[in-house]
Amino acid sequence: MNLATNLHTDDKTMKELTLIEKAFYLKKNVLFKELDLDLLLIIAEKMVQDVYDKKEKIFDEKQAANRMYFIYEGKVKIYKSNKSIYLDANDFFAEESLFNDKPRDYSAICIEDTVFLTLSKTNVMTIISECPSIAISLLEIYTTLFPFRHQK
Amino acid sequence: MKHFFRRLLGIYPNEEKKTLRFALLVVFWSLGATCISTLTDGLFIEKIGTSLLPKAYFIAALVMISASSLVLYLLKYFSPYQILMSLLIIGSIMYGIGAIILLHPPPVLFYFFCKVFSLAFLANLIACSWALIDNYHDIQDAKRTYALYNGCYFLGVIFSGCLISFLLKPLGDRFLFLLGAISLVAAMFQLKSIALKDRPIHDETLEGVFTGDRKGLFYLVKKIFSHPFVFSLLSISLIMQLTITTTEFNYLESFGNAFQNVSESKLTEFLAKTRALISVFNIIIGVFLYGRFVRLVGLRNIALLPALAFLLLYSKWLSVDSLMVAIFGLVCVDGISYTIEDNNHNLMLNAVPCKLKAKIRIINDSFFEPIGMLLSSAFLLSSSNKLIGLFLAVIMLTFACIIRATYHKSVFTNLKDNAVHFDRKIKHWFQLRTKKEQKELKKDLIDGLLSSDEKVSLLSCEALLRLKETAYLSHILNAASRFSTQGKISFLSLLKNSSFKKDPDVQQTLIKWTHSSNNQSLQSHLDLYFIGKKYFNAPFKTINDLLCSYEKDKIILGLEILSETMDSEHLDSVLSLIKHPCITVQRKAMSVFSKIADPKMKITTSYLLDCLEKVSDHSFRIKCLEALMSISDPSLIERLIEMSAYFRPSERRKIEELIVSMGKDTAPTLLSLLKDVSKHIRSRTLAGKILSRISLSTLQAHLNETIYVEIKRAYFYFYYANCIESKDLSLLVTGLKTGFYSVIDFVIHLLSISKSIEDCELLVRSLRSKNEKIHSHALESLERACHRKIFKWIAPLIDRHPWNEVVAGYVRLFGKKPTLNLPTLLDHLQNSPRLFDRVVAEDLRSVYDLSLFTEPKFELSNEPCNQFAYG
Repeated sequence: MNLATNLHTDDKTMKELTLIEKAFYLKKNVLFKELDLDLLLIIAEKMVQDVYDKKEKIFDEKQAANRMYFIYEGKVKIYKSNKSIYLDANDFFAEESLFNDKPRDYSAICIEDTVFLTLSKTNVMTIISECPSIAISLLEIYTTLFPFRHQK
Repeated sequence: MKHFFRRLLGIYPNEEKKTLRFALLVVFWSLGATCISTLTDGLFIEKIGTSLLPKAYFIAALVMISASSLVLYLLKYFSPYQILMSLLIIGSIMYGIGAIILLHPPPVLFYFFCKVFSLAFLANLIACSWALIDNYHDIQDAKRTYALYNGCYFLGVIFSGCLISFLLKPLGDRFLFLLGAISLVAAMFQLKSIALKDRPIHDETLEGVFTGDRKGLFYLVKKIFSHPFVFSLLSISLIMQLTITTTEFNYLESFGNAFQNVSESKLTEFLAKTRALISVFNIIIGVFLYGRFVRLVGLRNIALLPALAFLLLYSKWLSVDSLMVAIFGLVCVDGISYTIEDNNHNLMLNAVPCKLKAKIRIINDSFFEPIGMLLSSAFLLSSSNKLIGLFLAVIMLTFACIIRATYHKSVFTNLKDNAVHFDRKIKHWFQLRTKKEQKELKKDLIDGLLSSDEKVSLLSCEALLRLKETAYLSHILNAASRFSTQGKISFLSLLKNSSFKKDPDVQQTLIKWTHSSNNQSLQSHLDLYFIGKKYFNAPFKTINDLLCSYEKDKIILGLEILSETMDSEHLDSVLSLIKHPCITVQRKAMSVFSKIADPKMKITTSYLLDCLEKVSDHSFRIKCLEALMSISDPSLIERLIEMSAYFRPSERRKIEELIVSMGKDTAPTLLSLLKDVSKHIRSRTLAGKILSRISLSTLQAHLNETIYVEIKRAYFYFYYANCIESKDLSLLVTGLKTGFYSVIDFVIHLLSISKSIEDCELLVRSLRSKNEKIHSHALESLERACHRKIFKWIAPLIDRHPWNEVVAGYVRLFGKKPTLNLPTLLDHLQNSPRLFDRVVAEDLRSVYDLSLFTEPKFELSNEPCNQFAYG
């Protein structure tokens, strides 16, 4: 069963995801898949749902960073100069600036109508301090993206 | 001179330029907008007359409501900066066009349009300007500067009055229109300068400052009604508008009666002079006194002042209708409501949830004035206007009391948006929901059972088993039957820990699996599941052989049997297995021991504590703590709390539950741990937290003496950490800074624990936050939690106070100025209870020849402290 198809009613109004639906989404996400039910519910409760329209900008390069985005449904393009990457449902982005405390290093725009679940910087840090396994998962992802040490 | 003006206005060092930019912005737009507003008022009366005035007000009210609705809608997509800039552009263009039109005598409709436009424009300009100011100031900044900006508004009004008085006759009205347009253009440049030079203060609920919120009007109304503070704040605003209009009517009526037999111009002169005098006092109070008054008395107490003033006014007015009472009415309207109440409102808005703040401001500043005009025009037709005024004053006082009671809770609620409740379980989440929401969640869980994704399906099974939903057991078992082998194995471990372990339907299903599956792994897990039944009466030797085996699998089998049979005859074997080299065996052994532990096993506590100290595995520690909870030995408290300094947060929470379950007898031990400066700060904090739960009165009785010592230490660390500039002494500076942070964390924890603040960790984390809005909300909450004297002591250390206030604080506490040189400072650190201080002192002594350092080798820095003294 595809939960995402229940999201939009016929008149295209956005239904608010329940706590359980968010927990299910987190269970499928690579960062949180090892966490137990209680932790998933705790994190799900802090996630804020947001909907962006097609071609709507999420943030600009050099903008101050406060949140991390998880794509529940839709497609996003993140770009800087001539480079761009396309992200789909279950991907996440915008966490780099939360860790390095710098403004956004790239811009992000929706390619289609997109539903996000977002976490604020404070909550991300709090959750990682309680569940270091999430930080380990992030490191695992980063090390596969940058196989050669110090490669830029 | 700079220092003098800074002290006079009550602003901090390095704030001058930012404050000046915002002050100039307010002066420019208020000059332009109020100049045209006053001019159009006069032109309307001259060219059209008073007969069409009620119609003009009516249309103006409708236009104001429409314009404000448009601004509210636009806030979903645009920032206050963009909307304010657009308003200024529109205003300057319109007034520029107006100046051109006035070259030739315009039609009557022009003056009507100007009147309506200027009213709507001014109202929206005020609202958007304040919404922008909110984005650049936190609540602590607001206390210092908002009254100043309000004063700048009145300054703009005074300048516009002067311009009209002196320039209208010689230069004409079109020149003043042009001046108004130029003033608005100057405001635009000032706004641009602010956007380029000043940094907005972000709210973490939005991306950057300028992201619109997509929620509709229904959501906004629902949020307002569900938040007592926001509802009361809006209600008091509306009541205030009604009271202002009623009072204006009443005092004008009284003045009319008093000046009945005097020439007409005398009344106008009297009104103009009284208003001018009140405006001067408004500026003095707003610019110089209000901020200081707020810091002295507290915002929530000042909130009662306007309501009390109006109540006093109408109590007198009902019995005596004299000129003095009417003048007091004028003071209440033009003075108290425009200075005290407006400033109160601006500051109180910081306690509104961040997502609603801009919208609440627009509603209040743009909607309530016209609504107030419309509503009061309806009931002012009656003759009992003073009684109506008294009634309104009583309602205002009621709402003011609600605001007073809910203000700090609202501030802390904003902080709690960032609270993460790691102690909550699934049952708790369900209990927090309404019946309808619970039903929806259960439906989601049932749908999850049918999911093609096995992880989701397993999660649903776990949730329903933990909720003990007997009605859904058959659904759970059907879903589990479709799982892969690995899924079934995971499901078995869920069942073992659930209350359905011995349910006949479950047993039947599992027996079916035993017969239908050939998978060896699944079979062995099923065997383990039924092991209790199989080995229920197994002889002692059989189990003992398993436990003493060299093979890990046999040991685990033996332990599985014991966890089912709960047989305490093998206690010694289990205890020895707790120190087995294999971590899986350790975990299993500890899990078994936690099930069989009871208060008679106090002899084992020392052994368990040794294991707890040596093993860092999380699940081992949790089980060990559960075992210690069952044993309940008070003698282990001290050692346990000392150990907790290096434990994970969830393990510390477990220790807290463990010791709380032992009851009030532990209070003396906890108190001595709390006061012992040689213990780790985290241990002392945990001791304080537990003490607050078992005996809050004991903690509160000893709080001041404990806090006083720590605040002195904090000042010591802070002062010397900030005045050493030598790069060679960077280790010393680091040591002093860490010392400061750990001590001040402890102080904040204790203060919030003693006031039973729900989430003390949240307050400490928020005070450390680099986000200014979070930091300022936390300060506001801490102010409520502390005695005023204690807050005054610690404020220079946790807020952006000037350096001289830190030094003054040091002198107050120590009785003398700081004078230590390096050798003496290192001597102090060598005798410090903190290990790190002693290490740093030793290290520096070994590196430097201190005979060369007889004079102070480090210099006092004259720069004010860091952006945040703390964090």
